[in-house]
Amino acid sequence: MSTAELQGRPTRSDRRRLASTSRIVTLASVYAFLYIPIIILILFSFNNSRLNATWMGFTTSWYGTLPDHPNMLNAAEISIVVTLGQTVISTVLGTMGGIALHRYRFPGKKVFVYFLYIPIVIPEVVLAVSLLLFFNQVSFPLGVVAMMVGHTTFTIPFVVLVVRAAMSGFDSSLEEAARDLGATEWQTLWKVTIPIILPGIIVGALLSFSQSFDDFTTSFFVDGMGNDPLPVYIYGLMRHGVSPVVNALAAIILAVTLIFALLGERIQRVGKLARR
Amino acid sequence: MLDPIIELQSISKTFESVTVVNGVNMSIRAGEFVTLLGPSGSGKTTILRMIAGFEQPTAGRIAISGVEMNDVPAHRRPVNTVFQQYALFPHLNVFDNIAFGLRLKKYPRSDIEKRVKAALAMVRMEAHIQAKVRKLSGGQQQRVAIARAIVNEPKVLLLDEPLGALDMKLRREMQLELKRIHRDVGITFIYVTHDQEEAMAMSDRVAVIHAGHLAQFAPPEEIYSQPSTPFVAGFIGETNLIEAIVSDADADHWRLSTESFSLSVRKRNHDIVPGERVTLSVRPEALRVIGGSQAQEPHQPIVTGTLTERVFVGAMVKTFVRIGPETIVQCLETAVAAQGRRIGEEVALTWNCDHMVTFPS
Ligand SMILES: Nc1ncnc2c1ncn2[C@@H]1O[C@H](COP(=O)(O)OP(=O)(O)O)[C@@H](O)[C@H]1O
Ligand SMILES: [Mg+2]
Repeated sequence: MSTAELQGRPTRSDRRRLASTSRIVTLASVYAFLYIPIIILILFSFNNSRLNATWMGFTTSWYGTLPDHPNMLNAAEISIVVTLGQTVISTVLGTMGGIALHRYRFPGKKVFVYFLYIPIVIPEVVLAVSLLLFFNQVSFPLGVVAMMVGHTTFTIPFVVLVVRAAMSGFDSSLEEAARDLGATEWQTLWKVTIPIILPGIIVGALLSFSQSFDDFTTSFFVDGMGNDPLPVYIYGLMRHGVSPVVNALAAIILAVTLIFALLGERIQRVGKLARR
Repeated sequence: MLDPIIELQSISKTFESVTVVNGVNMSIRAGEFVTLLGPSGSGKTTILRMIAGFEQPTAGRIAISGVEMNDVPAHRRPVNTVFQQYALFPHLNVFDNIAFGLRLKKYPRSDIEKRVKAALAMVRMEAHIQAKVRKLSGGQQQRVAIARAIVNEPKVLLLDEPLGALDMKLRREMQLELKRIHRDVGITFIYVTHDQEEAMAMSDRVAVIHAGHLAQFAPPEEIYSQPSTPFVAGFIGETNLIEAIVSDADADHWRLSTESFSLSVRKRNHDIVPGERVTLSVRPEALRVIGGSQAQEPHQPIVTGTLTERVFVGAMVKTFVRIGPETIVQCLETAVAAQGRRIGEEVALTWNCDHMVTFPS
């Protein structure tokens, strides 16, 4: 919706003005519903009080005390390692899958694509439990690597779908041109296909990153002992009551996730403009 | 005669049980400018793609400089292609586009720069060496695409309707440019077009493709004056096709009868026998219109008819004459010669039989 519409263009008839006012009210309440809890969370991370109840003045001290918390840095490190690791895996595999899905026709391809959506739509707890059972069955140790593998299962579909979309805007005669000029299939992939769909791949990687970094459920099930990433660590802190430290930590996770997601969105838009 | 640089031996291509190229034989000499000409969908692109290595022939053999190419992948064939939509790499600038093939072949850096500059000079694009390809006009992109191909010094340059996306004026200009480039680099060009004027203007030899078959492969003049089939006659320029039957034959003449006239022609094709149906092709400019009382020349057929329509085309007049209930022929006359004729007038037509072609039906 354009800003002009949001502001309600000056109209001659009152009735129309009324209609546009009610539209603004509706929109505002939807956004309020979505964002007020988050705004309060962020606000109280700057509250100069141990309690999340009344505003006692502004402070950044909660952020300052974060590193002093036992295992906090460890949790941050695990989060970063797991997220980066799984981003690499899902981006590489997802890019290959996206290119292959675009390029090859094979029987049952449609079904195959539907199966890609399943990890996105099924309840994550089901995925997490099945991963846990699977890891136990094959005696795979729970921990950082298990989390990487677990996250990859639900982030790969994002990469595949985004890369496949990027491929659909890719002119395959460019690959023929490269072959014509003497490039092997492998050289064509690296010198032509991947550089041209790179914005799509980066978007996929950023989506994958943001999906993984704030994941709680899967990590909770497969992280084993002493490997809590930040979201699980927060859950642990909550057992001692919700202190503003939790707010501060949650705000940081929110910020990181948001930055990566917005970055992805931005690149996608620039890529689309450039293609025109 | 020189050894052929490209030889196609009865190549065919079938896509999912549809045969789109059917037993094409061609032998192309080094340095020739050969055009594949045919209507859209006749299989020209498929033939070109088989030479480039993007499609495998279902049957037949392709050889370049005497070396069989069937099992050689596209990237190792000594040919380069200028694609219809240019297919320039959007992530590379003009220099890097042209250097693409040379870098793959691991030429030294200074050599690459020299060759890219020479190729750009060849297509007169030196000023745009660092330009982004997106910023170039269609005609400029076309030139870069040509430079990117010829810089590799292929034995054969394949061009698939390279001017198809350009407007008429630019098209004319680029036709001349391509002729010049062909002369300057001296490599073999195989050019695809559905535009018969373009084919006739540019080529040493034209291969007319009709529904996957090679209908005729000959120099432009011969294609025009001695078309091998009624299709070729009709596709190259305009012609009048008239159905006839061989009513009689002697040692060196046939007697041909149509619904409105009969005439005697010198034998050419000896496997036509009396009783057989044939098609006559006479070009509009070979027909002469004789108003009422003019004397007829000896040994020339004559038929009378009614003038049904006159249309000015430049300095010429196209005159339509009904010579039978089913047959209207068109004649091309100079405006001076056609002066004073009226629609509805009775006229006689005459032509020189040497300019008429007889096809078995
Ligand atoms: N990859 C393909 N699969 C199926 N049919 C094809 C394929 N490529 C071309 N064809 C068909 O082959 C015929 C000839 O195509 P083409 O060689 O492109 O003709 P032209 O270049 O003369 O217009 C067309 O009917 C086209 O639809
Ligand atoms: Mg074509």
